[in-house]
Amino acid sequence: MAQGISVRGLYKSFQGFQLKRVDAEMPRGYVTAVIGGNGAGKTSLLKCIIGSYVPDSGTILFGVPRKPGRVGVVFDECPYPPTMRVRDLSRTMSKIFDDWDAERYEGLCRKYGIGPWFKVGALSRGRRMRLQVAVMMSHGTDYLVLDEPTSGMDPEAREEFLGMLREYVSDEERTVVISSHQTSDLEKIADQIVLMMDGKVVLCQDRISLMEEYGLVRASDADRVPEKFVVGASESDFGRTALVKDRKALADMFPDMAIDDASLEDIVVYHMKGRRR
Amino acid sequence: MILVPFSPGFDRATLGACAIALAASVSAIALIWSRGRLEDGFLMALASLPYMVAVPALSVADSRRMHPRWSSFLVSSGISRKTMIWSFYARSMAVLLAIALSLAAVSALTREGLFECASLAMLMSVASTSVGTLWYSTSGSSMASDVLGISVPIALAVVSYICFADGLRMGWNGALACLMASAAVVASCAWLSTRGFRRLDL
Repeated sequence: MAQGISVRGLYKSFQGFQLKRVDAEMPRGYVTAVIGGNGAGKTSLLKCIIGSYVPDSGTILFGVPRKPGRVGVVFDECPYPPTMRVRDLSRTMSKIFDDWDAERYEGLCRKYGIGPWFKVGALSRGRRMRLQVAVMMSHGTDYLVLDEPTSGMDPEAREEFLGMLREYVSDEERTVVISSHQTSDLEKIADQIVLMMDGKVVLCQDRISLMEEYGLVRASDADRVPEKFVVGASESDFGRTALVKDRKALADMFPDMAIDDASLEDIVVYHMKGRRR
Repeated sequence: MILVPFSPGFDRATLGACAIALAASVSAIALIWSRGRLEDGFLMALASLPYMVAVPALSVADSRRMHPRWSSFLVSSGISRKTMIWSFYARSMAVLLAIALSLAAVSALTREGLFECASLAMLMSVASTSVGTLWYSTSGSSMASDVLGISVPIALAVVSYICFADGLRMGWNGALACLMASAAVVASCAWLSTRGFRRLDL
């Protein structure tokens, strides 16, 4: 596993919020998904990685040295000046990025239905996100850092975007870090999962082993699960449902117990419930 | 001086406004000199156009650049914070240099009066814009640069015009002292900005 981005002991204090000694590995050639509830610290972590936030302590190491212009970013809010026209944006970007591909940018804008004379501020949220994606895809990058890139996109555009990301890491030389509330999207593309809560990393592991480790136990079976296996549980009219860890050991202990696969969303939701217990 | 990339259309419009104001001003000054009629109100109004139009236009252009999300994008794209700060102060420094040169020219021509009074308004505008830039680089808010960079130059333009029309003149030494004071304000703001902007969360 080649080093992509390595976050070690990152600490950052804001008014009323802290990133607390964050450690996370984001390997090269992988799509790393940073997930968690609102206010978990996902955006703050991403902003520390791209240099927008200045950490109080800790280090962020890059496997391939972070060269100017070789980081592609998509923010949750469009950063381009609202008065700027889509056509002018290309000229501005050509001054920022040495390898700016204006033809590719124009092609992508056409594809996304963004006219050259539109002002950034006049575009819908979905189109502003696509504009950011068009900019990101029109210059060479070693790293992609994406904060809620699919918000505001329709299902077809989302699917296309995810396919593009998959293609982007196929040469195993680039690193993608993505944060999203759309866990169903992340299940399709993420190789590595970083789950954050209250400014801390709760777990950081590859998606396949994560899915193998966690499971859902429902109804009467859930009442039999020893507490040490329970990550979080919920009660409903149909009985109790619990997210369990160390699924294999639990299956060995209770061979008759039905343990269902847990989705990424289940893992996030039940971790949050477990935290509140 | 490297300028932070921004909308070419916006830059063209700003420079166009400045060029027209400057051309009108220079023409008016030339006419005033050639006729020797410093009391001509219409020509005086033309001469003070740069303070009425160009200085606020440049300040608005500066202020539009000072947006945390845009700065954040530029930082992620590899433009250093130090470069950005120098870019923000580039205009102030260019104006200071231009005024220093004009003072030198006036001194050589021994024609006191017009430039000194105009320079005073310009220098104070530059200093106030620098304070606005310092505010942005330590807080991430461009509100102060909007207020200081637009309202102060307009107010100063009106005051300097009234003073000049009333026959108030300032000596060459006074103008030089103002230049030094403004340079000190800009330099202090630039130094403090570099330190503040380095730690600013964008």
